[in-house]
Amino acid sequence: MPMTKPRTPGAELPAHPTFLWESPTPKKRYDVVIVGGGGHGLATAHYLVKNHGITDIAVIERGWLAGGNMARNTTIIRSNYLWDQSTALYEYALQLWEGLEDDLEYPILFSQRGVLNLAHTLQEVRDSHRRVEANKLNGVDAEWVDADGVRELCPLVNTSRDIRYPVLGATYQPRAGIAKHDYVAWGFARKASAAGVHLIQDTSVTGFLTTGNRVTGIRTNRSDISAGRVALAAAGLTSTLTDTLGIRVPIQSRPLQALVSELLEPVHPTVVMSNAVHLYVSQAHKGELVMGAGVDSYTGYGQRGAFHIIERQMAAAVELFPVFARAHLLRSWAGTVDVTPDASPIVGPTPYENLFLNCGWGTGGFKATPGLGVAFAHTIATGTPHRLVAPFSLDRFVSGRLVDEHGAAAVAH
Amino acid sequence: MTQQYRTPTGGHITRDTALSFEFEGTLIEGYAGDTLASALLSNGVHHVTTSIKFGRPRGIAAAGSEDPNGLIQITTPIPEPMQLATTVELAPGLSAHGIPGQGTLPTEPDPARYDTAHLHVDLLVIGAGPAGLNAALEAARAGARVALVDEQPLPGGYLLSTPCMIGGANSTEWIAQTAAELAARAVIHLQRTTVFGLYDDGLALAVERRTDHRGSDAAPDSLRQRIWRIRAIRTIVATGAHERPIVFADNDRPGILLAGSARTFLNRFGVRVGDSVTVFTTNDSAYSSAFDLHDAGVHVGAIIDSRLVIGTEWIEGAKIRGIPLHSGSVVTGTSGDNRLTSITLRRFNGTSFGTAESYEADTLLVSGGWNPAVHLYSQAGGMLRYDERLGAFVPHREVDAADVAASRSGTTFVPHREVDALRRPLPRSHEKFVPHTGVDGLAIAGSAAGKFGLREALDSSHKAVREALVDLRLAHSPSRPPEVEEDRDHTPGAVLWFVPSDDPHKLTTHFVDMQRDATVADIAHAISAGLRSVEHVKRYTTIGTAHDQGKTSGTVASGIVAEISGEKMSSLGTTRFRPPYTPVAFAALAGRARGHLFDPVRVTAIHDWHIAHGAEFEDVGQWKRPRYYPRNGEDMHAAVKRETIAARNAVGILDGSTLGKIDVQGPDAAEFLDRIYTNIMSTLKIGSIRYGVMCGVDGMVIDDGTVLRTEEDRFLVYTTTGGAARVLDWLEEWLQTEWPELRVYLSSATEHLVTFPVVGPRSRAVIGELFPDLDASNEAFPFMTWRDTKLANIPVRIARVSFSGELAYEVSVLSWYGLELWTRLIETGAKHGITPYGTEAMHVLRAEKGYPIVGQDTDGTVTPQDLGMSWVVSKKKLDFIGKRSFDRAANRDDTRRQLVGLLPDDPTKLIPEGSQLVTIESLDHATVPITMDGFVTSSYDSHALGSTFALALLVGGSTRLGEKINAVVNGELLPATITNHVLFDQEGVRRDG
Amino acid sequence: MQLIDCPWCGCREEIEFSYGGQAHIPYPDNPAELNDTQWAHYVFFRSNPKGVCAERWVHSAGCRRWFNALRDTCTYHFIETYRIGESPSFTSASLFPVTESQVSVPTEAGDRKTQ
Repeated sequence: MPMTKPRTPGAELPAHPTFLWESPTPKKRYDVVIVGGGGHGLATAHYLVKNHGITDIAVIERGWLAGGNMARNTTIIRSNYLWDQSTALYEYALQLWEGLEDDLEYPILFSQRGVLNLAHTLQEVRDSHRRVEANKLNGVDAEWVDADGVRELCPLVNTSRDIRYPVLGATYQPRAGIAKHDYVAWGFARKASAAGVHLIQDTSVTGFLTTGNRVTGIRTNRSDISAGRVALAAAGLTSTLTDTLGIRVPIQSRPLQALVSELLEPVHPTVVMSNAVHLYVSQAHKGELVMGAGVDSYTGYGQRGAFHIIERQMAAAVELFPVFARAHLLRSWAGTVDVTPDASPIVGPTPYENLFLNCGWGTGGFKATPGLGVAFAHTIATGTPHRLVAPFSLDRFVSGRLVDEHGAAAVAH
Repeated sequence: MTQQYRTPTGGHITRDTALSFEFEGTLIEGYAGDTLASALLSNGVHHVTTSIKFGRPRGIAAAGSEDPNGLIQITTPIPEPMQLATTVELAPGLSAHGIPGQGTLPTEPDPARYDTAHLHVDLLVIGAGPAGLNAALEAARAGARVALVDEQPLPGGYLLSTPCMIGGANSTEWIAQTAAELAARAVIHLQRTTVFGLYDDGLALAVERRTDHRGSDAAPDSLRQRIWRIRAIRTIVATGAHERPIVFADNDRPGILLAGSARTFLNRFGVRVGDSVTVFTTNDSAYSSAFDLHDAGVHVGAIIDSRLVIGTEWIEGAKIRGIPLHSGSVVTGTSGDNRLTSITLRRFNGTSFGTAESYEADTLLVSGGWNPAVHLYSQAGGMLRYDERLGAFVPHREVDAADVAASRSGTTFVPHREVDALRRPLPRSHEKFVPHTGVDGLAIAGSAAGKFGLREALDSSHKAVREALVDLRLAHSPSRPPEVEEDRDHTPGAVLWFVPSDDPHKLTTHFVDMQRDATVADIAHAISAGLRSVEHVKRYTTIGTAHDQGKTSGTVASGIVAEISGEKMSSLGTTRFRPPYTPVAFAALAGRARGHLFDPVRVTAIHDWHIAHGAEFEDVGQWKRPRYYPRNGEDMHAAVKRETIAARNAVGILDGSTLGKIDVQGPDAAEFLDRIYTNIMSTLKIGSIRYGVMCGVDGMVIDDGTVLRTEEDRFLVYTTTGGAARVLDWLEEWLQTEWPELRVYLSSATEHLVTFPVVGPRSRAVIGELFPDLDASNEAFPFMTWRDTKLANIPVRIARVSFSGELAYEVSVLSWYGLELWTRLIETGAKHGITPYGTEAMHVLRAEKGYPIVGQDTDGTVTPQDLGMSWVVSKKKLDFIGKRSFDRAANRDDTRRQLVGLLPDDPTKLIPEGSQLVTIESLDHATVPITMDGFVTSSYDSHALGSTFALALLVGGSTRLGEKINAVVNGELLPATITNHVLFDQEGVRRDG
Repeated sequence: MQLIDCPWCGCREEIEFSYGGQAHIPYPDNPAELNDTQWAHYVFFRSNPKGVCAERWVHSAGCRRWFNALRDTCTYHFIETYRIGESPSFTSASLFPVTESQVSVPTEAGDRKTQ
């Protein structure tokens, strides 16, 4: 039979490299042990190699590599946060995203299709202006667009005045976009593995070995592993680890649900987020609509959420995008997001001098991946917090110097 | 076309109702009762679409929702993207075309309606095949409230494809009899309804397709789909099984389909799938398909069986029919462009192949065994295990065979116990009748449990329903499952995932997931790349991610991974099944919650008056509030100017009814409010009013408003409009969880009272005239007091508070009298020039006076001190919520932002709200990041000030009064002077009139 | 969507309820006596256990009463609900994990950082 050419745009994703990573037997000791083989753990390993020449590293993953939130997020990348500290970190990450395909030599499908954050009330308009103006002065591409501007950028959005919460405008970050999450994680993993980093899967960390105020290694369900330094990149499971050391971390692990539709011909050119109706939606490279909702209300590690949240999200989707009425929910799932009292992450040293903390990213973890990787690697390698993560230390909850992204910003995602 | 492949008789179709439909632009005919797939096949059309990646022709490959190939787009009567030809019922006006893997969203609005219904039952049976029908019937006979839900248009499931004798009748009669008895026993029996998810505590979600089968006969705005939320105390999953393909070279051509599906097309739809059929199987079940087709006059050219040892009856059956049987052989290739023309087979002993033989065939039926449809069971948290014998994942908990045998020989009688208890509402605590949790109380029966024979399927259903009835404490009489013949087929066969070769990397036309065009070679590449986890392989190859969610490809992919990597299937596991079982339309899930039902709209008692007087509205929370009342073509600026002038110079009136109101009663009410507010409320006198601020435990302002002491142990607390519900929750939380010893009772009075501030120098005259019993003088009725009076016989409360700095009387009555009061105030005020004003003018007036709006001039990071309100923070009280946080390091930082006023140098320039404030003198050569000192929270054009002005939160603001600052506006610097946040009437002389 | 057994109303749908975080964290007797670290732990730090924990819930769309519940954060299932002031029948030290030694730890982190 003659093989005809592909006729469906986006049907074919770029091929993966012929080799990804080794699955070595763990050694007894490493200079650095990273707990958590998700995006953050893998990126940190990569930048420890690249920026600090440290290669004697193990990344310990309890399941399959990048199978936690990295596999479950909705892949939105943007840097238009409210406060200077957040913007600095996420904008640094965004600049790294822009060169990441070359750095990793992997087609991560970073598509800078722009992100719209809709405003539906006068207060949201004020908050949006405030954020846009702050973004501009922080060097972030940001602009305010009115309802007509929203319609031009994304004709699907219902900008008529007669919906329940009419769209009054939006903030727009043109350089924001989406990337292919598996490809990103695998890109980091491949580079790290090639540099000699041991990626150890199916291994659960059960506790730590300590002497005085030093951590000397980790306990796992397979064997103990000694470590010069230990870095935590375990997201929602962080507190179950730090609890064993008596370190309290103010995170709460909550389900966050997402879903996809069937594959559809390209209709949605950008990313649209709306806090007022709890929705964010993009169309992925293959054509599926990818959507997320608000965080479920209560603590849960089960990687599933309540369906009424999905139903509410569908209502919001059809309200804002009437043409989605006959799209179909194909699959829904949930990740476990670690939320903090001020909706900002916690990164930095701990009372144990060679144990480093990285958690509390809530819904921001994916977009921060390369930036966090650089900053956390620096923190681990030098023992002092990188300037970009210094404001996000644990002690801000004692001093009260929070970085409160709840207030006026588009909090979610 | 002529339906040349339709059998002369038979099938569950209505032959006297011919329906024509359009496919790919051609008019075709089928019958009522057909699916689009069966109608196409009855006309000899197999080729439906082309594949997504390689553009290869693809045809119907299965008969149900497991079909990976037959993707179509419906264009009329109701355009809908990506459906399966096998699940679309033929209906008047249907037209469709094949799609290569991507659907098209219709652009026109969807006029149909969707809704949600709730159902509470003792037992939910999912699937109306033999196991499900039997379970529903037994439970109904025992008096249980039963719901039976099935995705097909007709009940019967497997029996529709497999005519047989059951319970002494032929299967069609048995289905009809059973359905009739279920109806007579008031079983809620839903066909065309798919349970797509099982959730906690016995909750099943199902979608019912109510009108699509009526096609263009259904009204466009009919109630098209309904989501059923079914809460069941016990659930039996009897969802059947999906046949599994075998993967071989060029296994994707139109004309290649699953063997059991061919039998379904023949027996249920009266359609022969081809003229010349070959069968490739690893198990017995495909023989029945071959024999049925032969007996219906189809030429069956050969049966190719991978096994060497085959049951005598099958060998005999083939021999009698003259069908050549090739044991120990496999299909190694196929030919044909848009339809299969021939196949190649070779002997295969597991390692080496014999010589090739070719057969002409237009159709190839494939069977690699059966996978129980365990999706719902897995979704509910049920563990699966790999069954080596079946080559399938089955529920870990099986119905015990020994128990079934016992039940056949005689039953244990469960005495009648409190059947009525079931009829009561669900009781508190953990008694028997609380719906089940997770897989507790969930039984799986029939072929969904891996019981592929009809007899063992019925046995398992019998066992499951008896257990459920025991749990439900329902008496039931001894009974047995319906009698059927001994099971002949569906005995497990060989497990063959794919026809191998020396190098699996070369198997580039061995399609595993046809919809994704993913092959054995892709899996081999994934494993070579170092991947070991099935999850990784799935993501590398995209297997299982398409419309069918891997119903046919999932287990096979795992098997191929196991085989190539040398891992054990049991250690690889399967991926977790996720809802929904089949795709569900967004609109169905949205239900009624669209448009104005998306979120309730709250309006005040005089909303209609506002509409009649041309108000433009603003959304504030769920409320619609008048923003301004344009007259004679005024724009907002002109209207607001007119409204503010009226309030400052004459009299204005505002509908302030949306303000939250909480009635706080009880002997400890004063003590309670002292703990909540930053200032003291207990010293407030009856008849007086105090402004208060409340903070979170973190010391940040969360709400503000006035408090009226109405009695010794009673207060009326006003909150912000947006904060009303949140504040009531906040008060209840502290009262109930921290201070339950306080005797305090809280009720919302927001909806009960309307409040109309009458504002301005002439307000006293208006109030005095309308309420002659009231002495409105400053001496008799001073600022921050309230008085009761009457309007005719209507009790009225008037409070002298001011959110504008002007003399003002806030008049409140029960909402019933709201319109009466409002119109009387307007009438009385007419000669004084009373002017209704909206939220925009209200903002100008309050901002001129430096009154902050919580949520606009605060953002959750602002303390009362930051707002210049240290005076509202009690130094005397030992504690109140938030007090301790004021002592934290951050609260002493000189970098805190404080509320200030701004007067632009150019009084005609309005600084947009949200603008950032900087000290640099020029943006021309500035390098980012540029230090920001604060931002504008409120900004208005003030007639009273003769200038624009703004409120801002500014770093160290209280120490910078008189200094200059620059606002960044559209890339330009707009200079302004920092002022006190009170810009108008700083001495407060106007409030007493 | 779960059914939650309100101790006052009985089993009702989950959407009628709101979550209120970890239970049995009393407001300090005298906040003024706490140092910043101790106060921060009261304000911001809550247990985040994987397993059974005691939580506060409120039947917001029903009787508006707060109550406590033992719930498993892995399965999400409620083990027990009980009224404010009552004790659960199932008890475990792990439900009340705040100890003085734990409270002191972040101070050290803070001290180290500011050195």
